[in-house]
Amino acid sequence: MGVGVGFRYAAAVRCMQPLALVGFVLLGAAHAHADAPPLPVSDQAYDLDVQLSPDQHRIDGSERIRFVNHSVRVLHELYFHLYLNAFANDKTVFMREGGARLRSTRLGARGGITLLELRTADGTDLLAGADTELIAGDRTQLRVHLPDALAPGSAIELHVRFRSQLPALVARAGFADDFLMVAQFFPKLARLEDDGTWASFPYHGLGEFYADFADYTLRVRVPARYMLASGGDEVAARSRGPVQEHTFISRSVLDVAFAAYPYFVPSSFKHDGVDVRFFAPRGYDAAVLRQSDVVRGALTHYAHLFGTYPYRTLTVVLPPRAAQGASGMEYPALFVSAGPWWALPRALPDPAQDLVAAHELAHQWFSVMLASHEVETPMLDEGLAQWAALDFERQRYTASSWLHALDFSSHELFDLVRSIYLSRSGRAPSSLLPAYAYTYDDLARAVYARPALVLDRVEQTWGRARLEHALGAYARQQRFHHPTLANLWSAFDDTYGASFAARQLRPALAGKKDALLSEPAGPPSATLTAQLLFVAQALMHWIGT
Amino acid sequence: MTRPASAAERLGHAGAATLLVHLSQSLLASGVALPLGASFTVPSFGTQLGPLLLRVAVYTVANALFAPALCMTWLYALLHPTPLRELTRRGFARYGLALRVSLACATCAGLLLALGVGSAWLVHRALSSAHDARLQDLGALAACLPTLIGCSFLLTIHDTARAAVALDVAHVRAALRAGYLAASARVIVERNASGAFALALFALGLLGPRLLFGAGPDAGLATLLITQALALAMTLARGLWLARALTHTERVLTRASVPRT
Repeated sequence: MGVGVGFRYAAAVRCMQPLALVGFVLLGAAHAHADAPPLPVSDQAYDLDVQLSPDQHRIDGSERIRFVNHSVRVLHELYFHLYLNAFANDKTVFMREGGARLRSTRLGARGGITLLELRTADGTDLLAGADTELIAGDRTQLRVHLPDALAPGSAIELHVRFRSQLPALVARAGFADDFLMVAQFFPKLARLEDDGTWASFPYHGLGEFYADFADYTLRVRVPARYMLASGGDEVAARSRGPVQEHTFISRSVLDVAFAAYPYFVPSSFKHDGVDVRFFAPRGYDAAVLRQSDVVRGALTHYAHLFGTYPYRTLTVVLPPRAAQGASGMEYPALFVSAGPWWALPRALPDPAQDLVAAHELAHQWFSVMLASHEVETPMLDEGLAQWAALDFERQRYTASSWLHALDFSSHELFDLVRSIYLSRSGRAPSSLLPAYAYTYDDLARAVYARPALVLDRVEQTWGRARLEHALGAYARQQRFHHPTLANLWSAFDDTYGASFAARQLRPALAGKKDALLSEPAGPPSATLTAQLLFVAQALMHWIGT
Repeated sequence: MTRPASAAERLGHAGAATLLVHLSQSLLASGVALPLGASFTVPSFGTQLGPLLLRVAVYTVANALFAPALCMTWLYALLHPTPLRELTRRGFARYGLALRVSLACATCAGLLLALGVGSAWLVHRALSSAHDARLQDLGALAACLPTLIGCSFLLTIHDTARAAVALDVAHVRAALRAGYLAASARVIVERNASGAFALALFALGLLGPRLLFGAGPDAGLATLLITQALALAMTLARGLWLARALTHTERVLTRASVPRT
């Protein structure tokens, strides 16, 4: 398992023209930023041409897909994900698993994808014999039967026309007033594993995604008053009367998405060779400044720990308040952060805002570059991203005394996480379960909090240098691959000695009673207790006499 | 005719009662803070947050219920030098009246707050078409200002009405009327200045030790000493204000016809 693009494209090279290969290599290099190693070459490609009708919340599009069978088996069928259909009715897996309540909002308008056409390059219709409902009530997966078997190493080109209706924004994709978060909006192939099985699964309530790396070209036509924020490089923008057409190119990415909003205030800066672009609503200047600092610091911090950020651009979207359902989500070279609770001075304590930005940026490594199966092993992306974000925030606050003083969380960040996420009745389930095995509360405790705290304990027990070495080796070896838990165990065993993962790391992450984390961490912090006593005294003072 | 005692003199001869108030509240506060501090650092999955929050709620409510008697004891101590046992007896004897004064003020404050939240929400909504978050927030803040002013007025009346109870006003309505009459603009400013001073001490207690010593494990004792000194200063500042509230109310009661026992 965990086979990467670098390995797989060797097979594809056999069926590619030499000139095309040179072109891809050059393009790949061109889209990595100057200090980063060149992006790997991908022979899977999506060419998307869409028209966004904001008033109808509708996308009319066509796509050309180039797919190469990298597996060892002959393929007779293809699996697609039509994830916007998760919002089509109450019987979908997503709705049954409570996905619409993910960010404490309720689903108003429904959404979905209608496939209008799906043909091979020679015009054979694949839609007529397609299986559209692999799970009763859920149309988020589609299986089509190929007219001719696809041998290992062979390529196929597909032509698709679709119409997507965005739902009211409750989770990741949809619309809220004039803001549109356009994600999971096009038919996309499931990931084909090396053994020829398809990693196809419905859109789960608490699960995210899993896909192959591919090159994407995205052309969007949108009314001129709308501004677009997308990952990838914008290579063309032209006006055609009341409509504007934008073209974005992304190399070696898992997905594309974009946000559209008429009232974005864009800003940008360059850091460590990366063009960082912020798109925030009016009045969010202070939040943009604050989160710009987070992004600057975290880009450097994560690059030191896990290897250089690979893309030339990074787009950060701060959604307007009505669109909080879009916040806290990562896409390649793009993440949707959280807005501020108060659009006033930057120095006001708002550690939650900082943490969301740092966490989502960490996902550019853990899930965007290290493309693990986010549904089957959510710990590999959410848990590691949470540790990375908390680790960055702790160092950042310690380095800056004013920030340190103004945010109460500062030094005891890991302790606060322990308190907030873990101080619930009952034991959190294992952190190594698939996303659909958790309730929302369990997911927060088991997948986000415990891995971060276990790694913190590993650092406390065996030192910083070894933890950096283990995580750094894992991140660098699995860059642009699809790592599994076995890869993580192996990186820790290489650093801490044979069977360290089996003896220490796995039991701790599985939540075993006698594992590492069950040991007491020492006496309560006197500083924290003194301050809590003072706060309680003030509270009693004001409520009382 | 003897000169009325100054606020500082009043506070001076109420030393024992002031200490009693401070220690009682600190004891209640430690009942909340110590388990909370421990739960932050004990790394057990499954620590119960529910019982912890329940404990905070119980202590807070206990404090709120206990406070009128404690405050009346303190006010009597600020009025005349009296043995502590006699003070507490008199304080508890006026508990019911002081509680009803607090409830009346809390009801008005609740209505004012509901009005403030409602108007802030309406303004926030009305400004949503401007698509400017800062404008919306400033609008909501401005909509809250009347409520803030009203609440500062109510807080002053609350203290002066309790002072009236300590000055032997026998009925809730009469105490509130005396409190209202005593709460002149100057007195409201004085009350708010005292509150702002306490807030400044609070901010200093949160930020000061962190800026001076960081948050490392060695800073514990220094943080404890500084914050406890500041907590005592907050109690003294409150005592000073209550002493002044007594003086202001006394002056009103000599002028107005408010029934007293």
